[in-house]
Amino acid sequence: MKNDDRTLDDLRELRVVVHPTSSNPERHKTETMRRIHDEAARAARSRWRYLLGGGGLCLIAGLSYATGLVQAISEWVVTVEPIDQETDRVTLEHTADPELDFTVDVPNTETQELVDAAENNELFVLEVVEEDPPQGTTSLVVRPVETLAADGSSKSNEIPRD
Amino acid sequence: MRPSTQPDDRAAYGPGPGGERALVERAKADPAQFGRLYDLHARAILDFLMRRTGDAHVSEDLAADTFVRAFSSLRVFEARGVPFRHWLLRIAANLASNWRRRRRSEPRASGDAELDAVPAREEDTTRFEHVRAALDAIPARYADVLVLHHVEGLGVRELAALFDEPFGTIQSRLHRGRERLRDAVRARSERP
Repeated sequence: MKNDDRTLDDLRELRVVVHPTSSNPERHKTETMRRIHDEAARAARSRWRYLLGGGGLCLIAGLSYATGLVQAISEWVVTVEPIDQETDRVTLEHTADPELDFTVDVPNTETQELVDAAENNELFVLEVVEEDPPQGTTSLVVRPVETLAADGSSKSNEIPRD
Repeated sequence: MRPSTQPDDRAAYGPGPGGERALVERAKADPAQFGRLYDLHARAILDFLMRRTGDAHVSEDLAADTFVRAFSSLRVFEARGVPFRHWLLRIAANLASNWRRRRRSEPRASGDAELDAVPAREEDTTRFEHVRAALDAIPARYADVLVLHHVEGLGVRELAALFDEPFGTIQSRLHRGRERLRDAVRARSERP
């Protein structure tokens, strides 16, 4: 225990140790302050470098945006939604539903031309409706021929006949 | 021996907390103002490093490093109840620990050349070298708080603020540090 106390006493006694006054304090201060000024100059240079670097980055970003580079990059990384087959099937069938047939009134002079043109496609038919259209026009109904399924197959609107 | 840098020597702390804060703020903008902070604290830092290293030349080098490092970090120094001198002491303690670690790992050509360079006094060298050696043998986190508390006179609360640790952590570090130091001294004395 005596040794233990002496250890702490010796530790406390360290406070009597001082730096020798024989060394030149002015020289030490001059040298230290020179290093501090060097450090300040270096920090100032670094600050300018950071400012210029930051400014350069902003300039590049602005130019990239202005020239459409950002747009091009964003298109590269655009995410494609995976196809939800069930939803797409309903959407497609709904879009091509015969119930969505619509009627248009076209000038009499163009009616025959449109009907003839429609005969050459397999997706819809044009039919003349015997109603009471505005004078000088004919009512045509546009009716899809087939509905497309999401799996790529097609089915006819017509009821198959045996 | 002159009792130059004891913490109860309030005059040595300079212009008081308010004035010191203003001085630090001025030094942030103007490096020349840092010279005033050097004048106020250089002697204390040199003495502290002399106690930790036992070598006058090394103390001067490390003191200069301490002030340069303090100046570099001056913008992040906030006087949150920590006096500037305590902050300097912590930097100096870190540098001294690094120096001791480096010195241990470096093979030396002949004897203790660095310690022989400029011994403060022959009797001091032999009297305190076993304490310094024991401090070197324990982890720096214990050695630093022991020296700052028992030698430099910082209170537990001041150490807690300085190291940004809870009060209890510093207390336990002091307790374990004393045990470790005694063990280290005992181990050295039992060595043939």
